[in-house]
Amino acid sequence: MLKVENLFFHYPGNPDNTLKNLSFSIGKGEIFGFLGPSGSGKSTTQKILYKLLGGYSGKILFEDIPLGQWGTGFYERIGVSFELPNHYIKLTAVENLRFFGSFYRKKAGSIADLLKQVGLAEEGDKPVSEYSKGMKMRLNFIRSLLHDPDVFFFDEPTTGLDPIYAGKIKQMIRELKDRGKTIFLTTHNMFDADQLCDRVALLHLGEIRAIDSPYNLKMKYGKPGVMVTKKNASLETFNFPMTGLGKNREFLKILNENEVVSIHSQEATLEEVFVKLTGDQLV
Amino acid sequence: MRHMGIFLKWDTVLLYRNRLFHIALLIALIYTGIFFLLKPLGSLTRILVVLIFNDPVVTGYIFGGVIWMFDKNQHTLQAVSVLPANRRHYLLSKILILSLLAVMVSLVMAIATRGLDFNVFHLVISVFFSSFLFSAVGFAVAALSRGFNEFLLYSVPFFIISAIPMLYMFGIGEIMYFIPLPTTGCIEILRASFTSLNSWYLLIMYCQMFIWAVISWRVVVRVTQKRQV
Repeated sequence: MLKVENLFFHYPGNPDNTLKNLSFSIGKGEIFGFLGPSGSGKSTTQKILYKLLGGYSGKILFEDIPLGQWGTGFYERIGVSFELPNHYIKLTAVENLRFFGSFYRKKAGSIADLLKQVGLAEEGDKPVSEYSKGMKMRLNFIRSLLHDPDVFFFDEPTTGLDPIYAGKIKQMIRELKDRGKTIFLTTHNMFDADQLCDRVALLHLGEIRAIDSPYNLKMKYGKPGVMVTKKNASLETFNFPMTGLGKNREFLKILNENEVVSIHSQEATLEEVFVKLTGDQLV
Repeated sequence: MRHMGIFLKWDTVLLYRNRLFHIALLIALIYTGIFFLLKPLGSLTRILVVLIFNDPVVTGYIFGGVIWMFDKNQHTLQAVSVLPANRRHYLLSKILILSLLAVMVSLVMAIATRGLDFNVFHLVISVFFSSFLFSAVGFAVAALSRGFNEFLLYSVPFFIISAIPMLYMFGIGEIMYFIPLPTTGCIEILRASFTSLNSWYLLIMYCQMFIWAVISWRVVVRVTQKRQV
């Protein structure tokens, strides 16, 4: 669906490359995550992919056609939810959606339904100036759905949302995937990436350090073992390597003592993988 | 053209919601009031030209800049950039709306002060293109500015340049020295709304005005497209 080869980019006036030799491809129906800290080049990559930034070198193909050859019809095929709220604050939510929606040939459904899905049905006729940041972000999200596009670009879609609506948005993203939509997700939130993405690219200082499924990355860079906590006079924790675990005498002894409180496998989190690969934090 | 129609419709709504429509009418009332205060001094054709010309300059330039900054601060420029619409339509719609607003306001001022004793065609065309020119410049300067203060600071030379051709109207200098200036055609055609001017002279002024409208359009497209994200 989308293929990027040897992408380099630098901002005018800055001789250093912001993006350095990025190569990846995203298949139809895939959720592809771009994971990295602020300033790693995530948003720049997105802006290039939806043609807000030009002047890059390398090859970008959308459905095997070079991106530069796509006209305004490209925007009928993609939906973008930006990192920051971007609405006309003097218009109501319904008016904003009507305005943006009126440019598209295809309609996903009624505006009322979309508002209802993100809990804004009762607030649709209020000016956006009266919305909280979370409400504006939910409005951002549904605006990208207005024209039922094939590819979505979500930039930090759960930022500013409470856990209930963050969960709701993630559920909606999964449903889009189930309907065969392709999703490019940029985030610095490892939990979102872990829960949602089929594959993630770990981006650091404009370079991709690793691309794989979250599971494979965690297995590859994690410490294969289990952590057992047992209750004695106080709580005690023991770590055991995964290799030979079934024959590990101490491990078996603790199990047989019937004092085990919890057993956790010790695969790495995506954050730990990131730190291991880059020496940097995901913030 | 469908997209242009959508932009025009919603830009009109936004002009009203942002109260720019109300402010434009208020400015028109103030200028009309100034005119009536000065009326006892005698024939005030040139003062009327100054006041009417000043209106599209203010509504065009300042409102153009303010609208750009509203959109920039609300991050709506990005959202519009990923619509399947020609980005020039976005800009053209706003400039057209501001120009039509200026025409409406200038007609109110002209009728309030002169009744129907003026050439409507010259007035409408000159005010429309004056506003077009200044809205375009307002958008371009706002796009180049980092904030409203910087925008106002940059506006000083533009206002000075725009006013220089009025010297000719007040009998200072030869017209040939003023022709290269962007607003000479606009001011002279506006003057023709209230006084009789030579047809060939008017033709030259119309050409001058159109040329500057095209130049201003090209400049604003170039400047704003580079700064839309």
